[in-house]
Amino acid sequence: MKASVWRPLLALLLMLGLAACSEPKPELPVNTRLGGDFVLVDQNGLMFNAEDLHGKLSLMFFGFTHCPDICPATLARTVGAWKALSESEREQVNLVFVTFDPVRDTPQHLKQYLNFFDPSVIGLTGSVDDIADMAQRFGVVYLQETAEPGAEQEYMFSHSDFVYLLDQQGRVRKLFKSDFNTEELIADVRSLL
Amino acid sequence: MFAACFNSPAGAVDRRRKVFAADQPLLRILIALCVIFAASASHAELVIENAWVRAVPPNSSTTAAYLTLRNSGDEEQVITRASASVAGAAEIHGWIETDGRKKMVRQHQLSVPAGAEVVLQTGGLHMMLFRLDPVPVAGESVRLCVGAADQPDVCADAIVRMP
Repeated sequence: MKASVWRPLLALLLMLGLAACSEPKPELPVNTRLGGDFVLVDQNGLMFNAEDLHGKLSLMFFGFTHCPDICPATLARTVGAWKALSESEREQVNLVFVTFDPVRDTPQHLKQYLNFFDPSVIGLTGSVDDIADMAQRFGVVYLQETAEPGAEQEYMFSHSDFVYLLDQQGRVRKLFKSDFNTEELIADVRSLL
Repeated sequence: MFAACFNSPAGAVDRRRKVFAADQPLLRILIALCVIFAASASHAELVIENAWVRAVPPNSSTTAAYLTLRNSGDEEQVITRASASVAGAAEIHGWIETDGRKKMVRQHQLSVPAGAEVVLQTGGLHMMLFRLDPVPVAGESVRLCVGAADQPDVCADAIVRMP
């Protein structure tokens, strides 16, 4: 084949390649079925509602502090991803931990617990009913499980384990499984900044 | 050592009697060592590898330990107990997922098949440590032990680290 035929073909392939590379990632859709208002109490004992998160993105996780495996692992991973952002990016992202064990997770307990991961993590607790209401709005499923006789803890929780990405208006934009890919989460956060 | 215990030539009864008579104290020591060695040999087939403990906040009462149980022997080992130097109690737990919820389930027995390994890792099987005292700090070492029925404990030092 002559060079005169190859050149346009190569140029076309190059253009297609560049177009594919530069194609913008589709915007994360707004999840209209999940999320909404809530009124809880933060780790300083102050009232905290959904609007207090507005103006920044939020990475939100639901769990309980007596959980030895998935909850601290997910908290650490989420905080780790947040720390991988630049300082100016971090200032635009809330980290939020919501407990569904208000009996043991008092504001004081949450504060000391969350400080270990990072002092900027917002800890939310409240009444059993208020937490259940918020969890329902966010599609979080959890159940208090009575332990078998002789077990070390009286009760534990079985629960879903998603990390929620909320936008600056508090709308749910994406759910990540607890073993999320850190690079993917960071890219999605940056897409909303 | 092991060869000395079990590879004595057959049919040499008279000679063995002479040896036994001549070197009775030495032989007794040898027999005792053989018994100890034989008892520990089967047990040493189970080892703990890659052990670590999750660093947790100072007000935590629980944490989890992760490790690999390797059974290089030709018999199944069934773990029935666990312990840790910083915990009032330790149990092995696994996860099951039903109706969108993950639930921890205690494993009263954990089988490590012959020639196989079982990995305890985040989100799967793990060793739960209860009543931490003191709460171990990142960089410290924790002694972890597991045991099969009628067998002495198998132990290893685990480093405490952030996940």
